[in-house]
Amino acid sequence: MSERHIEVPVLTRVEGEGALYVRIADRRVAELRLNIFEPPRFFEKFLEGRSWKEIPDMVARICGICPVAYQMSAVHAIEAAFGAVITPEIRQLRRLYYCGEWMESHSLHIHLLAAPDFLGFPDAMALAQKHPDIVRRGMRLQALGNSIVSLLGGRSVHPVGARVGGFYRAPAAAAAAELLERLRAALPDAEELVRWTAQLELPAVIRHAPFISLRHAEEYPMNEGRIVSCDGLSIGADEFETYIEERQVPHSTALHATLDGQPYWVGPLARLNNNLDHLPAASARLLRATGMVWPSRNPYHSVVARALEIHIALTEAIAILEHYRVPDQAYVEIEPRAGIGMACTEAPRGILWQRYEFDDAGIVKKSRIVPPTSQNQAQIEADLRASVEENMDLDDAALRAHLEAGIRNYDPCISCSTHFLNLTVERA
Amino acid sequence: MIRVIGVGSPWGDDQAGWLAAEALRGLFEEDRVEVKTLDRPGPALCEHWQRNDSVVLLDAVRAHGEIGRIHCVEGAAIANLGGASLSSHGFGVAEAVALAAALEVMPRRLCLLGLEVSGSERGADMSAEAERCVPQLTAAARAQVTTWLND
Repeated sequence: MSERHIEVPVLTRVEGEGALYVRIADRRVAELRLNIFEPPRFFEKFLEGRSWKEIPDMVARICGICPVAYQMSAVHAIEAAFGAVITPEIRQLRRLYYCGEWMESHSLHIHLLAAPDFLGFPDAMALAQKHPDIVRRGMRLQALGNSIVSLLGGRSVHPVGARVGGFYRAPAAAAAAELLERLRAALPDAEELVRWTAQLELPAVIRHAPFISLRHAEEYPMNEGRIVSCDGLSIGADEFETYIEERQVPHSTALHATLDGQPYWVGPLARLNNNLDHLPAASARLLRATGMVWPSRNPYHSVVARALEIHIALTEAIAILEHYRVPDQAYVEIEPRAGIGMACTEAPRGILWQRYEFDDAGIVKKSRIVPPTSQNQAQIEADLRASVEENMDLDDAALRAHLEAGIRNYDPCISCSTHFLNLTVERA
Repeated sequence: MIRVIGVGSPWGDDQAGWLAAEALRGLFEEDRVEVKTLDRPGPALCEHWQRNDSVVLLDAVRAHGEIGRIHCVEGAAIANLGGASLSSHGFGVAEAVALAAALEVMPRRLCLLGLEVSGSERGADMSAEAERCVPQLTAAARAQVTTWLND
């Protein structure tokens, strides 16, 4: 029997700490582990005993890249538990807030994490030396996303402006108007980014796991919608636990999630595939002009989906700010009560589900947070198994690089999911 | 504008840059010297300066040398310190400066003052050893700012 062992001891250009180990025996994958060794942080446990008022600021600390997602799923879940109803103006501000995070997170991933893989550079610094204009464009779009988050959150990292019921204060008209002009000026960057990602030479692979995302009746989903799959699943957030099972695996501090015992796939590609009919008209035209066939089952098309979602977010943010008036109330008053609330929103990396149980005074009795990376983890492993078998003739170094790029393509946020990466491949 | 930027995280000795920067607040005229602290800014670090600025970065570093030693590294040479900074997941101050240099968005003057520490454990308090050395980092930053103010 011939055996190969391939190891990536520390994954780079991903958020958080993990590794990959692959053992190949007789040209088949005998063992593959996406080892997530970032220490668990026990967020769900230490939310217990805290007041509802503290939750948005606490969960914003889970991730430096997607704090808005954690805040939004939390406030919607808490409002569901308390029976609170927000105003249409607050709803629009929350959508604007999410647009900022998608722009910031996707721009970072495309330009600084993924692009070096697709263009043959070891890292973003080397890419920037050869193609500074590409990286500058990404930095501009990222900064713009950060500005949106700052407008509503007070700051771009670990923002503090969101609260249950709305925001502590609404943006001033002048600040909103100034940002609107900057957003309008960035549209050519966003359009060019979509065209640029669509012409990248991407691996041609097909993967068959179900796509799961939110779907809203009228709009591209961010804060609201039913949880749907491409195979017909359509459930409310309060049915998530009935259909999605999380289980511990020995090699990971992040739980693996499955649907009917099988891996599934969340994130921008799933979101786009499931919501092609809800694109803003300009984004739809841009996507058609790429000549690509959608929906797509090629995970590497995620980079195009991310670019398009930057355009969607920018378009939406402009539309929201063009109609912005400082609202009479930045938040609705909240009356806590005993109850259970669940909510799911679309983090940049995919659906993020949260559940809170409160006592009469609004103190958290139990909480549960299911981030997108833990939902994608089983699918990433399934994808990597297929990738190894498709690329068996590569030498160890080339195979290692290919697999690492494949993992990065999912934009895993290990820091979020631990409750993740180094690569070892053994060949026999 | 002179900008003092403390870079770090809430964990262990990685707080050193923050504490040293905070100790400088109120010591200089705010319209001439800005003091701020950033939690692992990654590539966004360069958004916090303009090309005409003079920037002091305060950070905890690991250099396998003497704990408490203050390393002073200037300009694009900071980019050569990859892996020494404790301040982010794979995209620390060195990488951010390398990116800024490649994109030609370096400030006019840039100085990293790095306090050598032993490590940074999540959830851990700052070590007594590092805490004792923070005033020296503050003093070094104050001296650098004063020199630039008098230029």
